[in-house]
Amino acid sequence: MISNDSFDLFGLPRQYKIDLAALEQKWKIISAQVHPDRFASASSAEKRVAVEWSARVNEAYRVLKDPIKRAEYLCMLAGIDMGDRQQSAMNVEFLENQMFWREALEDTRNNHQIDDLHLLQASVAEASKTYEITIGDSLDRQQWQKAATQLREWMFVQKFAQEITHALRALRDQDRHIS
Amino acid sequence: MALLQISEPDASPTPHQRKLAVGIDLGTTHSLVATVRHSVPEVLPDAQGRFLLPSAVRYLSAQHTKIGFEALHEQNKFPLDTLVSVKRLMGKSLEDAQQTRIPYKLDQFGQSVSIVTEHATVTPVEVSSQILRTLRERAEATLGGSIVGAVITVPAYFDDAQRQATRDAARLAGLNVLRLLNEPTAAAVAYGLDHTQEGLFAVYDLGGGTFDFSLLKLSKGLFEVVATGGDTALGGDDFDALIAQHFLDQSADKTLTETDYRHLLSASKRLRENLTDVESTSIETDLTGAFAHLSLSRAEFDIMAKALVKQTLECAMRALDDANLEPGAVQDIVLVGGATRMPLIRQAVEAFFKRAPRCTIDPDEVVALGAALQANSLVGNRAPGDDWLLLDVTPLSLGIETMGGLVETIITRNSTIPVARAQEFTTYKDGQTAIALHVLQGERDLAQDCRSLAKFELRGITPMVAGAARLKVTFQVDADGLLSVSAREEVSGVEASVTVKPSHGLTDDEISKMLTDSMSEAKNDSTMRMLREQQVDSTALIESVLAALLKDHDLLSSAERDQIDTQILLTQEVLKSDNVDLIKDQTHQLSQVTDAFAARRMDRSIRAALTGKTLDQL
Repeated sequence: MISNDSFDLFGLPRQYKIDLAALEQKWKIISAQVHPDRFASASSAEKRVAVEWSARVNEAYRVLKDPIKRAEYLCMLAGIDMGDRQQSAMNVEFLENQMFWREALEDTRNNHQIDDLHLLQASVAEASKTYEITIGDSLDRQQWQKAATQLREWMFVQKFAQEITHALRALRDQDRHIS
Repeated sequence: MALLQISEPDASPTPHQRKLAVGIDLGTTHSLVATVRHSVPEVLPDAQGRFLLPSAVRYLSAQHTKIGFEALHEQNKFPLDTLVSVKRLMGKSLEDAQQTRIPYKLDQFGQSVSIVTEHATVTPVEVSSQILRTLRERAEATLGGSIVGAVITVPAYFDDAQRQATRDAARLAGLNVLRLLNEPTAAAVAYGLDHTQEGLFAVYDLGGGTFDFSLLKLSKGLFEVVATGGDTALGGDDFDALIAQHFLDQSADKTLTETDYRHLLSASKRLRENLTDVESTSIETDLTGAFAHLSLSRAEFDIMAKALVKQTLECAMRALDDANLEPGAVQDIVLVGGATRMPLIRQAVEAFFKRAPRCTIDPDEVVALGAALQANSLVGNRAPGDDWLLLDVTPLSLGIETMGGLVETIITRNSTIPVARAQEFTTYKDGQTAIALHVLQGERDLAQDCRSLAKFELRGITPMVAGAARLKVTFQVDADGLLSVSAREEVSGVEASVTVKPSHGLTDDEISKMLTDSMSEAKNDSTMRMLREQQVDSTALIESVLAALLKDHDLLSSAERDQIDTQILLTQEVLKSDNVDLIKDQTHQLSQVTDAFAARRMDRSIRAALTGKTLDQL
């Protein structure tokens, strides 16, 4: 039987740096095999297996294609619990920077400064890119604890990036309303 | 001209191998049935050559109905007995149904709603099944055989309850539902297969009562829905209601009887449709006084309609946001649904996407055509090389109510289906032995603002301190977009599962009763019919197992093979009898012994897929 490992499922090496185009291609190939539409006139057992397999393949694809979820998954495979509170203390410098960013977000949002918001978005995106590279290196060198610590920070940064996106969309929708 | 499209069934190239399958667009204002003959989909007309069947049913008594044009022609005479736009009531509770402003007398029916006409009290599911039955009979008469299965389309934004109600209606109409297919996805199939293009596609689908917007990625042989948005209570009907309101505002006579309001709505619809081709229009109505003669200009209408059009574009914007895309990324927009004929819609869509929308396929027919293509493919009629796959998404997030009335999302909207996801919960009180689960659908944070789908309980949990229990809740959405939920407490090992029967749906008992009633009404022997259906099912299972054995017999040990062979023989034996229960039990046995075999075959096919074949070779 095919193992439970999502990397195995797509025939990819178990590592952070993967070929996303190859992942997408394999997902399509396997979906074409297991999708319930292929079993519309099959026995009920086969129909059930098809739903279960399709769901599994879709879930594995969702995790592996997302840079943060893929890192989390590798940590989990290495036996690290990302939800462990005791491990989740943040470094002070990081927290200070977070506070600085949050204040900047509040200011730009309150003053309707879309250009400044875009600048903030760009610097957060840059920080995120740096995390992706360093965490990828740590994971592929099997430095799990180090990767996990950085990953916790990255998740914060990612959440903040989403807040910026939402703020930008809210301002955009307001502008539409006025016009 | 319509007659040219009718061909004798035996004129088809491979008459004995083809299975008859149809696609049905069950619409708010009208419905259609289509099928694939000679490798192109075509809408099947009625005996008078008409393609559209108005979704109208007039009840002369509980047993006696007039359907379609026949019902519509006398709508003005019997406005409260002639049911139209019933799709808007599907899967609704009485309270929700009352908010649709549909001018019928509504009543509570179990947990769902019924419509009280002068001569009958019926549920929206039964009304819809009358329409579906008419289309099934039309198809069987034209194609000269019984229909193996049907793909029925639903608005992409239909929730679980609305989908279940549609399935129930099909079951009542004696249709085997191969798949519930989202309307915009069906439209994309019709366009995609015509043009064999690649890239990002948007479908703007404004029907009589619902609005859907879907974004799809098309690549060779694959239709992948990336995001969908919409409103199941926004359609052409709402534009008509605006026009009606406009005349009410202008008149001194502010209150109309339900009957007169129904007349005013019909008149408004006529005015709106006229305005598609002319700048201003006026009509005579069946009403008196200020409403006897009505006129409207396109400029006046455009002002009234502006807010509704904007609402549709906001749905589109949200779907684009979900996919992290800008309107400019869309390479092609297709218009679906009769209401997109309004010039205002075309202009607004063009301004939003900065690109002229496409409407080369009739917007009334395109959904049924796509559904027919899918039905044809699902029953295995597809031609070699003509291979494609649809991957759709869930329109709304699904979750569980947690402490404080909050919603914990388990499956987020726009997840590719089928999807299964599990989440762990725990107890909040010491010694708690039961947990109530409340399943919700929607995007809001509070449970009270979401659609309640089901409630069930997990009992028999070993008493533990608060927080020690580990309750694993698994949500699974199948390819029809229907949800099932299971829960397991890992420490005590107790389990419970439900196929979500929506809180506002019909119960299984209610459906069975309707089924029996409708059979006796058709003077059919219901036991004979059940026997025949079971025989067909069992024979199909034997055939599929035999085909599987031929291909993959090496996956079984000789003992396993013997077991399957024995069960096949036993099933073939009981099939000679006319004992439904016996056949059913034996078929179940056969199905059970082939479970592991089915799993291994799936495993093998995935392995084969991974050894480097590309999609178009499969």
